[in-house]
Amino acid sequence: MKKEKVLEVNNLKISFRTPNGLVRAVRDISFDLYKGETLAIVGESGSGKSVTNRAIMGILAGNGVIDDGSIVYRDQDLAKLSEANFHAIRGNKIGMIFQDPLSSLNPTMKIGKQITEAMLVNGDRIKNKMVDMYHTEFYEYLNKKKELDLARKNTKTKIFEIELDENLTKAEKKAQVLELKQLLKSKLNNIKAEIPTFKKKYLEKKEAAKKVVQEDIRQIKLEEKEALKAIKDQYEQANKVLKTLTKDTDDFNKQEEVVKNLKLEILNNRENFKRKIHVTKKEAYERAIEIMNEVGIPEPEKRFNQYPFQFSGGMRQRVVIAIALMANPEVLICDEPTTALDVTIQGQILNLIKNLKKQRDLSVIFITHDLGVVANVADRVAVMYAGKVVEYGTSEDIFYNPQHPYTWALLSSVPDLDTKEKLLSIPGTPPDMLYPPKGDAFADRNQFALKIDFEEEPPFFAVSENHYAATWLLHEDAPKVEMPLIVKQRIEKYKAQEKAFQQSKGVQA
Amino acid sequence: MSDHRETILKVQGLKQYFKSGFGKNKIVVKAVDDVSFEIKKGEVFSLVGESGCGKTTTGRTIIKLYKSSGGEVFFHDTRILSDVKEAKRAYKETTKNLKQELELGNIDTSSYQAKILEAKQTLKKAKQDYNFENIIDENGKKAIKDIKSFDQYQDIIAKYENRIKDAQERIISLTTQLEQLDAKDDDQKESFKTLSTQLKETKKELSLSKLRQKQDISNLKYQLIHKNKLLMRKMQMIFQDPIASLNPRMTVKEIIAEGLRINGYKNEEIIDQRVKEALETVGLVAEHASRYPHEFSGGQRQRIGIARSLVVEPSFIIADEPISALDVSIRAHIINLLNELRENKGITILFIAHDLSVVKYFSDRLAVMYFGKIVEIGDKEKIFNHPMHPYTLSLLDSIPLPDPLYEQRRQASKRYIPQTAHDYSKELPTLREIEPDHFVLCNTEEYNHYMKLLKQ
Repeated sequence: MKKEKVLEVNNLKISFRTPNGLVRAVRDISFDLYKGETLAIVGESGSGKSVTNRAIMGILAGNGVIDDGSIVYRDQDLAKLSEANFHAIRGNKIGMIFQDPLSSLNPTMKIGKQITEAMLVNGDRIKNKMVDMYHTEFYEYLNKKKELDLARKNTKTKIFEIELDENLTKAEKKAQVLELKQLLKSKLNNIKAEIPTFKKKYLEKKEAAKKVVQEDIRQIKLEEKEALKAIKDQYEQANKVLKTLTKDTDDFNKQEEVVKNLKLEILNNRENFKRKIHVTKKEAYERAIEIMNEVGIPEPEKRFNQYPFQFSGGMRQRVVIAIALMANPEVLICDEPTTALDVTIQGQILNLIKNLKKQRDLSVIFITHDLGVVANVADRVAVMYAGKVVEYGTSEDIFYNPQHPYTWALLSSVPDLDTKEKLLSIPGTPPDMLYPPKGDAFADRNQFALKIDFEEEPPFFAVSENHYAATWLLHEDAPKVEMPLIVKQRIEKYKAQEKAFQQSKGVQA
Repeated sequence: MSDHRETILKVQGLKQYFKSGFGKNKIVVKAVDDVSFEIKKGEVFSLVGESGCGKTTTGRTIIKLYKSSGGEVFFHDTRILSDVKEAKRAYKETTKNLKQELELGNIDTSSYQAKILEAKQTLKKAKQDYNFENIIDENGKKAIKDIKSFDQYQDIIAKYENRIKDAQERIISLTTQLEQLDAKDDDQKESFKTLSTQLKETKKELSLSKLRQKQDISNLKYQLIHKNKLLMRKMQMIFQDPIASLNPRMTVKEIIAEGLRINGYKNEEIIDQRVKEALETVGLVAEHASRYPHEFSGGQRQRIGIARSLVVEPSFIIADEPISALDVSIRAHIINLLNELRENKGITILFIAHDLSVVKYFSDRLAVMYFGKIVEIGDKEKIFNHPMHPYTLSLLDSIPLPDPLYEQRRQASKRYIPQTAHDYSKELPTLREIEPDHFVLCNTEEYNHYMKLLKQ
């Protein structure tokens, strides 16, 4: 049975406008994210892994542009989604954890406030309901308005192209431009004619929604009044009885208890009705304590009122995770969450993320450059280099049967506890993405590069059903190349260890 | 064996306390608390631990970036850091004792005064050693007045004597030849030209030789006066963050040459030469010298940092997490580079890191630090084969390996909590040797337990 697909990135291309030209940060990448799995994206800094995920979150820097491709989340293309619509998804459906827990928290705000902030800001339930009711009509109206701009823009670029065309004479150009302008005029008129109907529809819907909502509020208040009336009477009577009693007797104490309880009940009732209208502070507090417990922050009630500087690095990262989890997201993007942490704490945070994933059936995108971390958390791995995915497969495929020379290089450039020989460092530096190289981007630094690597980009070759690598070495005509000895030895060692473990397990059983 | 090698650095009871607040609110953080170790020549010694354990502070205190709170450091058998507090205390005690002795009549006045003087001088020496680098050598200052009697001075004179003489003679012969020629004569025009250029070059050569001689003499003088500074020059540091540790307003040449200029180099040609050599040693090219740090990648910047420390020809380098801020693919470059330096130049390295797999790969001996104290110290193989202290175990446990099946079945690493891991209510722990060159911080009970484990 195939698992449910949550997120689908198709042929995504992202570039940044800089004074020196376009920096092609992401060049045609595709991957899928299934429900309840962890996808790790590995690569050096500048390989485009963070940019990809920022695009998914809709928080690309101002000069970043999605040139092509789609990011499909639940039948919605996030690449084309407007900022207003993104609010419903960013944070609510897709949460993100950043690398540095210190700089992602506000140092002047108490932790509790930061955790509950989003919930309180988006907490007007009545307004949310109202907006939901006229949401579609409103955006239809907005999009229609946008069409005006779009038509103008398109015509402008067309006119620009005509004026640059050298094959046309001046008169021809003039005629064509005139024609275009007239076409535009008629188009604009058509749209303009349609707009009032959309506007009317939207306003009508809004009015209706307002009425519904007002009715709701009236209803809630009425219910509240009725529910409170009985208790209030009881409370007043009890209070009267209390006043007749002399102080510090048993009866007095008993009666005082009764009065107190009644008062509490009134408050609770009020709170419950308030919650129907908007998220109350108490509600947010309760939820925050629950989440803080879940992410393993001890004494959450005390910690709620502390500032970020009073937390250690690992605890801060837990707070950041708590903030991300408040809205109960479906997808969690972790951008190097453990890079700034110590090894011992790194293990704890990784375990936390793994447990959360299991409990909440989260889909996690995990960005890192530490292969050990990848082996720990990932179900599937995408290795990125120079804005492209170069190898893609399950984590066992990538670690026990790596195919791309870049994956080899990554594996051989970190020592493990048994390494004694000289490390194989990757020569050179990543290419300048202002001028992406022709052919395979890694060819320059690749000791196994073939001639064709410098001329043509390698397509994905399937190694097995779910394992792909973009290298010409897998082509049937390519010479047979063995992976570096250091990697081979290491994999053999791991396999032997695994075998020994299985055997010892068998003996025990 | 390592025992025969010369000890380069000896740290004894080093302490670094940071204080904040006054009175009731006074807080003393014992960042480094009584740390002792020795580093032998040509060795890589690692300090490992999590952030905040005091490993960086130890390195910085050794190179005197911080004023130490106590303890002594010996570098090339010279005391470069002394314990002033301890010295003052000792001085007070001796004077008190001597006074008592004098009153009792055990010693006479003259020997009392001599002993007091001796104690005063020890204190003065301790105070001087505390500010080791800034102290001008008084003996050297006196010696300069009679510099001509030094062998080195004579060597310098002899070295340039022939060159200067030769150049002077050639200048004389060239000028006489030139005088015989007529510049206006077409036949002699060519030879006149060549001769005059030759003369110019020889004159330049002469002045350069004279300049070099002068500079060598001034260097010698400098060396005599600033013995301490020159010794400290043998100790250099590489910093963690290659971006923050390079001044963005200085070119690479200025950054690397700064150390030379501070140490009295003035001739641009020599500085250029040294900068070029340093750049080539770390795998950069001379053209890079005129660029600014921001034009380089992270790995190259770290190379610049290393070149800066190499240019003054150190014998000992403190490398403070030099690879933590770098990309995976570049880490291997820097480790290999440091390995080459150690093999080719015999440089001793104090390597500060938190990544145990790199430490295991790179170092010969190591010390594991936890909250300002060394908990385990010794030979690399011995520590990794028989890790004893629970903190070392938890550190080793938490290294993630690029092996998914192993990672999946691995249990969550146990956290080291000192309160539950040890029972020090009866006896406080000390560093004890459980096997040759392998010490663990433990008390008697734990020591016996560790010895039992070791036998198994």
